[in-house]
Amino acid sequence: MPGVKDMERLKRYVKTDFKGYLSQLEDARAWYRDLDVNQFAEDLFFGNGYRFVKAFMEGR
Amino acid sequence: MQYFDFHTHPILKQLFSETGSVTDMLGRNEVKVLQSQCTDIPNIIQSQIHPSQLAQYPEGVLLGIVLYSMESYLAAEVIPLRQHLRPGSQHKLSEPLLKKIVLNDYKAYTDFLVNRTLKAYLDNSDIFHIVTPETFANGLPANRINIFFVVEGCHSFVDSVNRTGEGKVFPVPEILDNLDRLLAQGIPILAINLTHMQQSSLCNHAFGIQLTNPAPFFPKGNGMEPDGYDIAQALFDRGIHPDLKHMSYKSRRDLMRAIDGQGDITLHSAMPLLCTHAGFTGIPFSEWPEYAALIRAEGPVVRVEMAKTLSVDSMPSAICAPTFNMSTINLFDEEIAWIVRHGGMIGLSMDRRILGYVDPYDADVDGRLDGEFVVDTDFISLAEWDGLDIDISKYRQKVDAAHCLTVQRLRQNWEDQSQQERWYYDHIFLHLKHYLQTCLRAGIPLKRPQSTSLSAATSTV
Repeated sequence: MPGVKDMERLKRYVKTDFKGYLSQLEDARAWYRDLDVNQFAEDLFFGNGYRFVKAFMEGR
Repeated sequence: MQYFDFHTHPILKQLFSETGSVTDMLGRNEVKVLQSQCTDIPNIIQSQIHPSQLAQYPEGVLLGIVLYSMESYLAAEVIPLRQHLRPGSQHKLSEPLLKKIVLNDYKAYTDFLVNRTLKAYLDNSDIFHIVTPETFANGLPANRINIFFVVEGCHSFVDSVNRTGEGKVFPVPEILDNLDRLLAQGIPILAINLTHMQQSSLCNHAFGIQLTNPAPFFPKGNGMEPDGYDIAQALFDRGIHPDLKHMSYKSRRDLMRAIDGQGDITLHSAMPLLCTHAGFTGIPFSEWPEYAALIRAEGPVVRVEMAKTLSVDSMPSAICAPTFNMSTINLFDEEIAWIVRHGGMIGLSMDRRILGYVDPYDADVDGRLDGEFVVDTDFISLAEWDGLDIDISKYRQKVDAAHCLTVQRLRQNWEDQSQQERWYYDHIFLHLKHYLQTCLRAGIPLKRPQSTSLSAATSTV
């Protein structure tokens, strides 16, 4: 069972290997090159959630 | 690295201890390894998101802290799990406390949520920093764990009863009065789950517990109830996001339709919906019966054993192909697109069970490895089964080796032990790809799902 200590490794793995994984998939070929995988990983593990909570707190 | 998660329980285990503090830890050496119990239970019991583990992210941590009071039936089922702790550590899962919860002698809101859980966070301000708007203006403090709150199940607001049925309900006024008490104290509550694992009078839940006797957790309702709509509207009125996790598929659909003005009830000024710690089924609901390997009425529920799709349409090789968990507690394609279109957020759980990863050496708790195909067992209430108008003519149409994971293939995957971690990661990649692909198919430009709407969720306790 992965824990919080594993998330840094997982993030690194997304950055290094996700695009290669997508390149092998027939239905991702039309769009995978357009994916900014570094930004995607940053947002997945922090940015998206941070911005959502920031907006929530600023709207209270 | 900075770390974010919508839904975490960093001190849940400490809250069930008879002694100690929020910094106590359950380590691997305190959990028995029983040869007859090759399950995830020891891994789940030991600490996975302890404050000391969060310290490895010195650039800043922002967490949704779950305020959760254990339900009565779940407390009863947890008591036997103490056997997995070594005798010297069993005080860390207090049997007297669990028994009081079963009997409602320990009240969900006053005793557990406020005086036990929330107080622990407020009293440890050297470790936990409750965020304010100024936090975001000045930058996240890096020397403490920055937190906001989410509430897992409206039963957590109720002292008067600890189970529904036989005339008992979770009273709407009591839920809202107690919620308002927290808000009046300035407690930032981002999201609330209407329900959790046990039957609620607000809405039906999705079956979601595999480690115990399933019967007490069977869903028996039918989508959203009038009290559930009242709570949802009250959350919107207070600027709080409902969390879809743990709601049954029909409850989720009812709520989305009410927000879109397409249901029997129309909700106003809706907040975007969250689903804070979920996986995906990998298909739209209309295709769900095609992967059902078994459908059988069992008392108050319909037992459905779902074969696991290989998503072979996009796979050049089915060897070691990852799959999804196709239980209805996970999100269907149309729900992913709906949440993204409406500005909501999905916390993609990294919990291997939610992602559909199966270890053939785990105990076969629900018969998923008994037959030709690996299956996920689900229980749907009879009322919802009728209400969903499931097209039974599609039953088993794609349950074959070309489309679904066979037990034989699963065991072949495991012959090379070095592939285990890679296979787990491939489950995550499959989910990430499916999320992006589903949004694109729904006509949502890639930029939006790439840079909004999805967040990793460790889902650990």
